[in-house]
Amino acid sequence: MIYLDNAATTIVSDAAVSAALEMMKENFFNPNATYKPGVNVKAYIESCRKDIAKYIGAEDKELFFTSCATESNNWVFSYGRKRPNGNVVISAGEHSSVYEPAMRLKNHGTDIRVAKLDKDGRVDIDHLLSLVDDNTSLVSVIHVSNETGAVNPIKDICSAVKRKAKNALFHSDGVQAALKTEPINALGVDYYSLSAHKIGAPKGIGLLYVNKKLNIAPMLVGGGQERGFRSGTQNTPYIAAFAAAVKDFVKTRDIERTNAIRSKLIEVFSSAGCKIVGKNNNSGYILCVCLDGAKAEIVQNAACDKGVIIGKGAACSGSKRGNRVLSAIGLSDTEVERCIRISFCNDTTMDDAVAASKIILECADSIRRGNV
Amino acid sequence: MFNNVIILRYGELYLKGKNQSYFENALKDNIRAKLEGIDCKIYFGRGRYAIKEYGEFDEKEILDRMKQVFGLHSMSVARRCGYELDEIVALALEMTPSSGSFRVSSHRSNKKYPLDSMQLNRYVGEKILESKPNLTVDLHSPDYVINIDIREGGDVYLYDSVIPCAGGMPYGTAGNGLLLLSGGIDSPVAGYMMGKRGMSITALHFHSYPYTSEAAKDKAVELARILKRYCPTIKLKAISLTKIQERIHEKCKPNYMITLVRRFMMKIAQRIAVSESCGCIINGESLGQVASQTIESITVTNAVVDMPVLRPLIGFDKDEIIAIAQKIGTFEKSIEPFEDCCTVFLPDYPLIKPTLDKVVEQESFIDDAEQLVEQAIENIETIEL
Repeated sequence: MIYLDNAATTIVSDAAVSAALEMMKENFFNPNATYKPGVNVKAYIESCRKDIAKYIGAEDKELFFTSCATESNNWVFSYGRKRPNGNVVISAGEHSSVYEPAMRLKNHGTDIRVAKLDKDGRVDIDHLLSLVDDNTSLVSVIHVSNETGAVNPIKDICSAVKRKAKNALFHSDGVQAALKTEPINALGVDYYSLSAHKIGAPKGIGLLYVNKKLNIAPMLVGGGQERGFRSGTQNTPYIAAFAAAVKDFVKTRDIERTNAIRSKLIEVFSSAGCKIVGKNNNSGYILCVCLDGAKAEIVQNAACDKGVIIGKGAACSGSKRGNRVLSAIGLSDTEVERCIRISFCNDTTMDDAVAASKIILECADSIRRGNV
Repeated sequence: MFNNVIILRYGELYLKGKNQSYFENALKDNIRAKLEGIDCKIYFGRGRYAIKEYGEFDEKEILDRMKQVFGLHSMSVARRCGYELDEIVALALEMTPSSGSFRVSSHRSNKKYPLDSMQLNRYVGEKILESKPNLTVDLHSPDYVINIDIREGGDVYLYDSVIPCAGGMPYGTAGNGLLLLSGGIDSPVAGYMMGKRGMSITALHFHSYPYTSEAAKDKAVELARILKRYCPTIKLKAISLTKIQERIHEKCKPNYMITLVRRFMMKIAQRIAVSESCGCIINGESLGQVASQTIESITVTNAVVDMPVLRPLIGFDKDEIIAIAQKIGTFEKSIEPFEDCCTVFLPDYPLIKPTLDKVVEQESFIDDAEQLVEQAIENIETIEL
C-alpha cells in the first residue's frame, strides 16, 4: 500500500506508540495526585511540553494541551476575543473547525467578515485588510490550507493586521503547518492551534498556543488542570506520544526532499493534462490536483483497490457534498468534483510517489473511458 | 424488590380463526428471540402476554425491543401486588397524582375474585378520593386511568398508560420477499411495510463500485441492520452493476440509462428471488416520484419479470414515507449524501415516458447482456448483518 493521505492523518510512529504504552502500563498514575509516582508523571508531562515547545517555537507556558485542534479553534472563538462586540475576520480558506465556530458567532449576532482567496488558494491580503477595522476583535487565517497546501504568509498578514487594528487578536490554524514551516514565535500570532495526529501521534491530542502576553478564559472548567486553563485529567499517554512524535518528525523531516517529490508529481500530472490547484507558494506536503475528466471519488475508490490511498477534499467533510474552500478559489462544481488531494509524510519516497501518480492517472483514464 | 411487569397485547391475530395458533406461535418465538440476552421470564396467557422478573435497568431496553416486534399491538408497564385490597389501594394511591380527574378500570381474569369489576372500581375509587380530596372522578374522559388487572394465581397488575407497538402480523408468517434495497429513504420503508405484514425479507443491494463508494454500500448495510431490528432474519446480498452500466453507457442512448439499468436490476432480482425462495420482489417505488417511477417506466421495468412486484409505497407522498422512515430510525442514515448506483452515468434528461419497443431496441445493442447478468450474479456477495 502506498499511503498518500497524510493530511487526513498519519501512521503513528513507533516512538509515539512506545511512549504512550509506557504511560498506560507503567506510569499510569494521575498526574494531579500528590504521591510520588503522580508527581513524577506530572513532571514528565512538563518535560513533554518543554520538548514540544522547543521544536514548534514557543515557550512551554504558552502551550495548553487539548483533545484536538477543533477544540483549540473552538476555544479561541468562544473565549479568545477580548471584545465580544467586535467584528471577526476569517479567510474563506478556513477548515470547518474555524468556519463553523465563526458561523455560530454570526448566528448570535457577531459581524463575521470573510476574506477572499486568490487562485492559488491563499488569502487575498488586500481584501482581508479592507475588512479589518478598529472594531475588529479577532482575525483568523489558516497557516497551510488543508485542501490545497497553500501557505499563507502569516507573519506579514499578522503584522499588517496589527498595524491597522492594534487591539485585534490574531489566530492561525497551524494543523498542516506545524514543523513544516516557520516556528510559531516567528509569526507574531496571539493564538495558534495544532493537532498531533498529522505528525505521527495518535488522534485525540492537540494543543493551543496562547501568547504569554495574553490571558484566555478557560472553555472547560473543573479540576483546574493545565494551570486552570483547561480542566480535565491530562491525557498523559497521548501527551507523551505527542512529544515523541514531534522529536521523531524533526529527526526524519527533509523539506527539500518532500518539495522535490511534490515538484516531480506536479510535472507528472501537468504533462497528463491535469490542473494543479495552488501551484505556487505551497507546502511541500500537500498537492491538490484537478483531474481531467474523472471524478475524484471514483478515482479514489479505484486507486484504493490498486493499493494507493489518496484524499479528496478534506476527510473531515467527507460526508458533505461540495467543497467550500475549493469553490472559494474559483473552481467550478465540475472541477471541485475532480480534485484529489495527495499528501506526503517524511517516509514518502520518490519512487512510491511516482508509482502512485501513475496508478492514479491510469485509474482516471479507465474511468474516462468508462471501463474500470 | 423490583416488581414491575410488562403486559403485551397482540392485535390483528384476534381476527384469525383455526390457524390462530400458527400466528401466535410465530409471535411467541419472535418475542423470545427478541428478549435474548435479557434475564427475564415470559408468560404467555390467552390474549395477552407478560414479561416478569427482569432487572430494573433492563426495563427500557425491553420496551424498546418490544416496540419492534410485529404482531404486538400495545403494551403497558404494570406494578404488581397481591390480592389483598389494602395492597391494591396502596399501590393505586402511589400511582395517582394529587389533582385532576381519574377513573378506575378493573378487569378480572380470575372470576372467583370476591369483588366484581364494578365493585372493585367503586371501592378503590372511593379510597383514592378519601386520601386525595383534590381529585375528581370522570368516567368518560379522565386525565388518568388506573387499570387494575386481577390475574389468576394471586397477582394483581396496576397500570396507567398504554404504549403503542408496531402492529401488523408476526414476522415470518407471510412468505418470503426480495427487497431491492438502495441507500435511499424509500426502500427501507418498503421493506418495513412488508415485514410488518409478516413477510420475511431478503434484501438485495445493487452498487457500482468504484463509481459509487464503499461508504455508499456501507450505508445499505447499516440500513439493513436497522431493518433487522424489525425483521430479525433479514439477509443482505450485494451485486455489482458496474460492468452492465459501463456497457449501457458504451452502447445505448444516454437518456435510456436509468430505464435500462432498472430492467437489468429486475432481471437479476427475479433470478436471485428464485434462488432465495422468495415469491415476490419488493421495491420502494412511489408513483410519479421520479422519472423512473412513472406508470410508463414501471410498465417497462415490470415487463422483464413474471413474479409479483410489490410496491407498498406506491400511493404514498414523500412526506408520509419520511414520517415512517423517521419512526423506524432509517431516515438519518438514508439522507447521508453518498451516491447510489442510479446516479452513475446519469443523463441530463432521463426518459419520463419510455415505450417498450424503443427500450427493447436499445437493449438489443448490448449483445452480451445475458453474459453480463450471469457474471453479475456469479459475483454476488452475502453480507453479514
